[in-house]
Amino acid sequence: MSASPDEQESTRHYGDASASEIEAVANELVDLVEEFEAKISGGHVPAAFAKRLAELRQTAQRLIAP
Amino acid sequence: MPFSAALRKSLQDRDSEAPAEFSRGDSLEEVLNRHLLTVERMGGDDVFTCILLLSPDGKKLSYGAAPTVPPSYCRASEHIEVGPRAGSCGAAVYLGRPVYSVDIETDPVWADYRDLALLHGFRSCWSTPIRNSEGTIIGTFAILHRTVGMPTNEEIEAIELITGHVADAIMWSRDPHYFIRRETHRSGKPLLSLVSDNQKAQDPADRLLALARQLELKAGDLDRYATQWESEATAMHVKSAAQLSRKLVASIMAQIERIRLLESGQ
Repeated sequence: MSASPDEQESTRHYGDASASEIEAVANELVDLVEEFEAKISGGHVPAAFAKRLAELRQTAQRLIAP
Repeated sequence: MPFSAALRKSLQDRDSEAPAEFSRGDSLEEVLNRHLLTVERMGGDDVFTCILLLSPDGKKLSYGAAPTVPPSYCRASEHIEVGPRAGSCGAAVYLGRPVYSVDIETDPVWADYRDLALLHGFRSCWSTPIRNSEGTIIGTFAILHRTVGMPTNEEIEAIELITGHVADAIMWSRDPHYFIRRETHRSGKPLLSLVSDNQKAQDPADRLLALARQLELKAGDLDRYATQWESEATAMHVKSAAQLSRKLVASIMAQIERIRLLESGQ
């Protein structure tokens, strides 16, 4: 069952890359939501909110898809 | 059922997959079935596993998952009244401890279900209560065999391990915040500190956990905004943002599990 050192290293690199990509998308989403929250108090929706959300969803689907 | 590092590794893999499975809409039964099939694959031919869930009033057990137990057996024992003669599972809840029935044919705890079990060829049953993080019993995990026998110490250790993983899956299905709370508890750092220290956190798992917590909070806020917004189109986009937040949380929690596995060298 145990992986060779090379296999472990490649798993570690793959895992790190995937985690950092997901982290980046998550941070973008937090930024977008905070921008949304800042604007809605004035009754406005941030410009291109839907478009940016769709782009984030697309990126997330590519990363998360089983 | 041989207990080995392989079983531990397989269950940890299942733990890392479960959040994403729940997030994409899989039912608790589907997730638990995968847990149990993993155990059965490693346990050999004479291992039939099931999970029974306890009703909120603590009086009845019903099937949560039983991937290879004959459907006719499950139908005939669909709602088990907790009690000292209600089979190993009913008795395990009643007594609040594991009940290992070495021989169903002679064990008094099987008085109410003996004929049914023997008719299906089952001769022994080892049942253990499943407890939530507060220690309350929420169900049972049982292994049925077609042969008589007592579990070995290794098997008891394996059963405890399996029961812990099953409890996590059940708790997650009932509370999507559960894994975040569990990870926060493991890291020993308060949630608010994790959020405010987000930028400074050096440990990748801690940083991801803080981000997951932040996304969960945002998802809750977005749900609230969605109900207040007059424009249907905007409300739909806001709901969609909340859903995306929760999907990312599930994915982040899976990544944290993987990081923890790598760190532990397993």
